[in-house]
Amino acid sequence: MHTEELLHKSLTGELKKKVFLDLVGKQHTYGDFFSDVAKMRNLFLSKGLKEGDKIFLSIEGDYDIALLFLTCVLSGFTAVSLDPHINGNRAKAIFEQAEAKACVLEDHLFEKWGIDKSSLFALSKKETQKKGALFKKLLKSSSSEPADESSYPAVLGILENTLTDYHPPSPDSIAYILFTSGTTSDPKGVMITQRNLWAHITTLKNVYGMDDTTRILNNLSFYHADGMMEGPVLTAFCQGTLVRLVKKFEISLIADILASIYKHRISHLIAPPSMLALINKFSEGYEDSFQTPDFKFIISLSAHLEEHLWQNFEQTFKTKIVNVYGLTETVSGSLFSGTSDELRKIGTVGKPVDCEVKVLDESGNALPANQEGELLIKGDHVFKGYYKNQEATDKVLKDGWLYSGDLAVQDEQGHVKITGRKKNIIIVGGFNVHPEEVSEVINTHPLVLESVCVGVKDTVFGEKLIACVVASDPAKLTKNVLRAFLTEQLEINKMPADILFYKEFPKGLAGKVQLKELEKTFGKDQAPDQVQQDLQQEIFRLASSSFKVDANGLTMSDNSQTVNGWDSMAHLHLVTQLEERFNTRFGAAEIMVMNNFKSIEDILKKHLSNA
Amino acid sequence: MELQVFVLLFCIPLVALSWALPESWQRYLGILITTLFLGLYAPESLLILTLTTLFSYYVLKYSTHIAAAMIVVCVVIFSVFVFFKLGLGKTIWIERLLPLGISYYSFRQIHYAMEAYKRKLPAHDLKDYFAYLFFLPTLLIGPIHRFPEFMKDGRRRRWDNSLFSEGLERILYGFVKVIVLGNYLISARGGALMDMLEANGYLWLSTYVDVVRYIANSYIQFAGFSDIAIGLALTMGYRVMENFDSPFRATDISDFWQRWHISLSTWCREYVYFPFYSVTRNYYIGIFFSMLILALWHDITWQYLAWASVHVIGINTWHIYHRSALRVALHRFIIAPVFWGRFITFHFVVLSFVLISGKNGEEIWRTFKILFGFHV
Amino acid sequence: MPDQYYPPLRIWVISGTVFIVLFLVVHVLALRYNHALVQKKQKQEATYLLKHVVEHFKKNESKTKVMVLGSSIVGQGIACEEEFDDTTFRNIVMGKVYVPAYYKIVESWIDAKVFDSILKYPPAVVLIEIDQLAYKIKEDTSFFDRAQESIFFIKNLKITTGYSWANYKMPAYCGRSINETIPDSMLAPTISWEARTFEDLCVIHPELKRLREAGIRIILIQIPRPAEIEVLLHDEKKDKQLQALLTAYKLHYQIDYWSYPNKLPYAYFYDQGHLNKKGRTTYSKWLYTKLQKEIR
Repeated sequence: MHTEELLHKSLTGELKKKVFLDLVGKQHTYGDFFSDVAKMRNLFLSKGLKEGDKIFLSIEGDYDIALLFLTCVLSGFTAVSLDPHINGNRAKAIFEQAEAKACVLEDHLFEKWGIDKSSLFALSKKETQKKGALFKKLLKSSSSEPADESSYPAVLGILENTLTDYHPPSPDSIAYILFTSGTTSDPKGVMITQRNLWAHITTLKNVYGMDDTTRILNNLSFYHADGMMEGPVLTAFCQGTLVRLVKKFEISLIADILASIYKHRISHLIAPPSMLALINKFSEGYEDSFQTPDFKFIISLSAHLEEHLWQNFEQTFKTKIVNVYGLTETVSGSLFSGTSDELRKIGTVGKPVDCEVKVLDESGNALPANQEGELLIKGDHVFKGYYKNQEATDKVLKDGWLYSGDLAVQDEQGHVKITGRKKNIIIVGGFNVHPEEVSEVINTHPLVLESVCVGVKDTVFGEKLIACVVASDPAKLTKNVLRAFLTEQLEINKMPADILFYKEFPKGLAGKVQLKELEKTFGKDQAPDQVQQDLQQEIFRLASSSFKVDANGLTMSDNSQTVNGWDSMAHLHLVTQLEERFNTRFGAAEIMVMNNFKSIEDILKKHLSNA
Repeated sequence: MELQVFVLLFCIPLVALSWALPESWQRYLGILITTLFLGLYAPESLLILTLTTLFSYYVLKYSTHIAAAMIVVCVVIFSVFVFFKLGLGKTIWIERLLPLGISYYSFRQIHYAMEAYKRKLPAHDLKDYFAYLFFLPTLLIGPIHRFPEFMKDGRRRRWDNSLFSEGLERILYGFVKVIVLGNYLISARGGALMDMLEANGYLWLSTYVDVVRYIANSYIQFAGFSDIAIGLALTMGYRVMENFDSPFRATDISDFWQRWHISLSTWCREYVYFPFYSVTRNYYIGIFFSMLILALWHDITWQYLAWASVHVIGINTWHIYHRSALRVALHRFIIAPVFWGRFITFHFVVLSFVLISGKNGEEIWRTFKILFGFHV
Repeated sequence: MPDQYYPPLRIWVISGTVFIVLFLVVHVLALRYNHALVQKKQKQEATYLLKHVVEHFKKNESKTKVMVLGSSIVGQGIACEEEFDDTTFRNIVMGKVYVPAYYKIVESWIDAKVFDSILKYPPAVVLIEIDQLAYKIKEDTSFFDRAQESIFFIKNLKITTGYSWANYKMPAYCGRSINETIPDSMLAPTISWEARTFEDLCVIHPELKRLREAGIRIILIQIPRPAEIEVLLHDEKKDKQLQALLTAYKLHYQIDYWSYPNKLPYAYFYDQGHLNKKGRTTYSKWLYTKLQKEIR
């Protein structure tokens, strides 16, 4: 079986020297990584852990979490991984519920979460002294510290990396449990079996056309299903290489990310739409980044990819985006739009691969094509259930069909378009946020009477979270006070983008907050697509008369190099025409940078908003 | 030629070390080797380059008023450039007419200042800017490559067999162009052909061969040196902009200027033509000034000014014609307009180059008389 | 970044190595054989020119015969008497024996039995280019000179291997007269000089003695270089050495020294050492006038 083969090849065979992870410039080979895997496996086995026992993981460091996660998955232990930055109360509740036999945590978390180390095998992660390491090496002095079996990664130094009587875990054992967003009283731990996992990883490998030459660039968090499964797990399965460039994604690093496509011979870039939107916006001069011999396509996942962004991005960068739809409950993906012409249709999530879908109406009847209803998925990769939450499981899993909670329309060819959401969830830049979870935290503040969180459309992040709060003492509770309070309690992705204060909420007869009424008070952001389209059409119209070319042949990614007839004189003709048409006057610096449609549009927008 | 071979010799350790040393050392390596090279062959140029680099970097970085800073930098750099172009440098240094590479690095600095004004510069520090101006492959002979591209390539560079091979191929092509085509075929053999024609009494033909030979040689030599520079840059993992794009295939004079010495003509378009246009809103003025600078870049003489004026007139005439009804009417009758476009453009260019190839007015006048059949 | 095919790197390594090895081989061969080759060429050219001079002298028995020995500077710098339109200098017949200055020119003269011929048809005056007696060119070891050596070797491969002299282009009798002018940007001479002492060139002494005994007047002549170059070539020490040398020649063989009194700008030159048509005429007029005075 593949896990066995992978381990053997890595420890002794042809993969030994091959780079598995390239983490912010530091390279780890298959040999090194999987020998650490074998060591950790030996450690857990020696502590009496058996297949199916749960190991709780919450540590910093990409290498460490990848190592421990893969150790569990390959050895048959169940990994329960939780972001160390998560709200303490919630983490504590989840930890208690998990009943793990072993845990690997950041040292400070034991105290923070109040964990009794004696009740289970506990490894605490302590930073080893980096300074003087070289000096020690030079002196070849044997470590003076006694070998500490409870501190990681020091423990790696005393373990054997031999793989004793390895047998692949049984398909029905739980590979991992991932806690998706949820309230404290109602945590949802998604249980994925070994069968689910490998069935889906095989699907991904096939649908993306990956092999051992594949080099994936995926900068998503390893505590995110899309980060871990379409990261180290998929990479190891393909025997390729995973590249992570930056610890955290920032706008100033976009150039580095784009440059790395060529530099690191990336074949697949895995990114959420929010990252693609930022790349699209701040990439001037880097439009040729994907024109490398190795690059295949971009994989957009975790959130809804706007049609406008999709088209614009593909035109600008002359590359292909594959839009993936999936849930944590389906390991990672399910429907794919773009890897082949048959699957591809812009604006949709494409077609299911290795699974079935159907669209049901409210009363559970299958709907014909082009009618909106809830999307259901059935396949080998659909999860087993929520951990210790039969009620929640029963709600979404019936007869092997997973109720996705998303509203969708399927066309005659079978392409599925996601049209809305039934479940109350907000996806901020690829991260699922339960508004209730955030409200719950806000409500713990002593000065808050009640609060509601609402999702609002956002051009970059897809959606953003707005917190509406009624304070008991409005004079004392300001935005900053509440923000400071929330920062300690919430992960960064779950922080509300804005906080609005109300005297009282509009309420219905049953005392329920009327969200629709509430939303009216701050006005939902309009979809900016239409306005943008009109401005572009007008620019193209004028450009076509200046350059004497067909307006239909022009795209936003065109510039003075790509348009025939866009010479310096025609350029000025266009500038003058734009000035007349929009009744404005451009500055010298502006005219000089207007050598592509994108910057013309940006400058015009600035002028129009000033007017 | 000799100097270019020395550049090549300095580039051998530079290229080898650039792949052997870690990424963070790259900038310092480039600066160091170029400093050694300039220190050895042109210390005066090293001094000017270092001072102007520090000046332009700090003025643009710490000024609160970017437009003023840009103007100050451009004026100072351009003045230094003109000072040496006018030969005033001879009063200070006798050995060389011009500090090595000043035509190129002055224009690169002005490019940098203008991009700073447009706020289009990528994030960088002093060593990046130094490395850009101290980039050995293009230091002496261009192309006037651009800072954002340089930064991009610096981020992207990786070892690549085929890219390295491409670089070596370009260097080889460059030397073949300069030595075989330029020095041997066009200069030596072409010269012999010309002498033979003249000796046999074919005065018109020999003059025609001579003027074509002049421009062909200018092109092939310069393109050859550009090839060497581009090839060297490729072996270091940098893709420097092209300088020529088969200029004699141009179908009109405007097209010609997009194919001939591209790094300079685009420079003039971006940093002379557009600024002058945006201020005056008159494209004739824009074209006039860009051709003026283009002429002065080569040499400050009346011959280059005349040459530039001819091109200004040519370009404007072409633009008027291009938008006129005459063109539409003519195109109904002309067979193979592309051929005729190329034919006319080529000869326009050849004739204009007579203005700069002649040693004095008398000789130029004589050449024109012969070519147009007035010579008796 | 198009997926284009470029030769694999080992092709470059192989062909580069082959090229360097070939270059080295040629270079070694050049060092070994160029010397002999040049002497052979110089001898051939000198013999050829000498034959012409002798014929020329025979045709003009009545006139005063002047023979000049030198390098290409003589070839280009001194006009034949026929070149003057007026008849002022028609009483002189000029015979020029000049060979390209690759190596030791004086040795080639002796090799080609120039002095024997001179004695067979004795001229009244023998002019000798001073540079050949007073200076020797320092061996240049720059990369380019080495490359030049190899190129020279390849170019003359036919002659070296003794294959053929058939296509060999012999020099023109009167030397070349070139119209072009050196551009004034071409400064800094690439040659460097070393002064010779009187004893240095002992091979020529018996020959000079023979000429002297035959009653032939010997004069050393200096053919001008551009004024700016002269400044760079000469210094106080060299001038002193030259003076000592001239005194010695005067003492032993009664040899005089004529140096051109004026300084000539670039306009008179074709390159850094050779006069152009304008310079040739100017200098030759001065030389012929001085010769006429001498004859009388």
